[in-house]
Amino acid sequence: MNRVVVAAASVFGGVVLLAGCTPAVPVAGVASPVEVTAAVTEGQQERVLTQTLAELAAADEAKSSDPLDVRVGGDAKTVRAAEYKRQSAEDGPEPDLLPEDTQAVYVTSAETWPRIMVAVTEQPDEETTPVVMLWVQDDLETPYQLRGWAHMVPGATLPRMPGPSVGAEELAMDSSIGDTTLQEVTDNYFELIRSGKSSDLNDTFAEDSYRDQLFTARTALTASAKKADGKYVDTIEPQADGTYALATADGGALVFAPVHVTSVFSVEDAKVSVPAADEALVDGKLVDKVTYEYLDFTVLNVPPADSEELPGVVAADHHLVRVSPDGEK
Amino acid sequence: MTLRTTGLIAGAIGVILLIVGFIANSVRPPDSIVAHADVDTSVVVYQSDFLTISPLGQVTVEGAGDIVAYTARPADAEAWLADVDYTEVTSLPEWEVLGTKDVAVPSPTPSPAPSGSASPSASPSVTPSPSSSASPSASPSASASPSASPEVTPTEDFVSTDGHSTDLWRDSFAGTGQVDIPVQSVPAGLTLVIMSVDGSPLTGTDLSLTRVINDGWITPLLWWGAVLFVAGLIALVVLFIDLRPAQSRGESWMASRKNEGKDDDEPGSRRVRRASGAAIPELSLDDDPKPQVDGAEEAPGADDADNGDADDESASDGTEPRV
Repeated sequence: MNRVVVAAASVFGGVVLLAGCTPAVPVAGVASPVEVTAAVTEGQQERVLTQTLAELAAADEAKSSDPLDVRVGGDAKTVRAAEYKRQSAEDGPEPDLLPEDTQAVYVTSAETWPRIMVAVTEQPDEETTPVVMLWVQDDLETPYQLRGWAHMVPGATLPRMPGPSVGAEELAMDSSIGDTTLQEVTDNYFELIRSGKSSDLNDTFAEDSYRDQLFTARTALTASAKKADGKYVDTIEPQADGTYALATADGGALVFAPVHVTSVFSVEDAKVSVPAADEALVDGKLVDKVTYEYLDFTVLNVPPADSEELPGVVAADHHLVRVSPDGEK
Repeated sequence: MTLRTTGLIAGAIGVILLIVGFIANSVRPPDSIVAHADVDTSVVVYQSDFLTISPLGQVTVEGAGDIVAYTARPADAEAWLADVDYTEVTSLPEWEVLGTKDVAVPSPTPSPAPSGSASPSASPSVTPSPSSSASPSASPSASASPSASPEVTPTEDFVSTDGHSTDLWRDSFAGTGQVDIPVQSVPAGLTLVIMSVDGSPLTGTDLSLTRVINDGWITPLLWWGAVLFVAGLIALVVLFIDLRPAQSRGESWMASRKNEGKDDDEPGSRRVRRASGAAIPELSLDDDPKPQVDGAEEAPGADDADNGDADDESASDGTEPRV
């Protein structure tokens, strides 16, 4: 009897002791905040860059835009396709060289779409300025796509941007910096492009070679058209849907603004001709009128409100994509 | 209480300790356990907060085919999960059971594809130069925005599911039939999303856990029990052996040892003097004082000091008051 009691007491004691020694089921705590709050990490940037350059390399090799289907799209694909056409002409120019190495990558911290990513490359060569490339992710299910690129304006400096782990705030175009909105600044710049150097707006923007070249070409072509009793007309159409802005570290903004430029050159009682390199882009039969279509990409720096610096274009390219008699297709 | 009785009691206590110790050792719960939950959706989600339960653990998800796991910002993961049915692991109700929550898309209508046409805004295209031609305003751009879901080329690490972009995901893990993700490899704050590549349902998910059990007392308990048991065993053995002859011999030997030394004391030795009680010397006060010699006279009681009594040695320095 005593043995039974001892055994039972031992079992009971062991179970009780162990029950007291077994910890309670843990409950979830609060995780540390995300270390990289930017929309894309460096690894993701690298993936996007690598795949973009791989597509471009494949397209360059094929001299066709057909391989450009995932990482290159929109205006960038159209521009690249036009470059391949021009390249195919005798002594045609080479497509823009887009370097693999980057100086900086700017990413957004946005949690909504569309999102953008910007890379500033190294100088392709001694005579060419670095390239600013813009990727856009339209929505959750689409990949980041290269939508535009532009070479930096000689002498221009890009503003300081938030770090890549934090990401820059993506600004709406109605965001105000000082007394003006980004949309107003952009509209004013393209109004200046339309109006020409004599516009009052000319003094409100920093000097840039992009508009100088446009004005110079406009002056020369207008004079040529007049000699043949013709006309030369530029039409500037900013593409608001493809315009994005990132906040800079000092409270300013970088605006990435594609613009559709149409230049119509017409003469009377004569026949127009185009340079050999542009003939590959001719769509239709040219007689006395030719329409050049450009998909330009511009990057405007809007300094903070307390800055004495003028807003201005820091990168821009004038990309010819089509030549036609009437400019309509 | 004799020593033998004490040993027997210690042995009984040792037996109890051993029984308790062995039972505790046999029913001791494992410190490494795996909590499990069955799932039947193609996507399983672990939020970052829940993963704090087992920071050193491992998430395992089983399924039939290829399985991929990605991490993403919580907001991005939430946006992605808005269009899929998934199972979220939410709790640990018991040590070996994961609590889950099935989340279904409210209305299974596919998300509308965004407009593919980039209709440029009708900007007031002011042409500064007088032009007789109609204003060539707003001809749609030849370049349209890309279609909503271009096919994504799978990369080494990121496998596109349903042709969707993988740009959302930050880290990737892959496996066939099972994918194991150490919790430590999931960056803090990110959501872990595991899915089957072909959209087939996953079958289950595990989370390995480590629990700290206060069982450090079991081994010392066993040792103490063993020691006491041995002591009791010895006492028990002694109980069955008749030690009286040996005890008698021992007692006799002890008695003989006591008697052996009694006649061996030398006369005049300390032992004899202590036994006789003549340790204090007697001085005679009426003897004639001895002629005093400067500094060289032997002090009274010097003879006694010579007898070896160390207590009287200090009297021989010649500075004693003279009588």
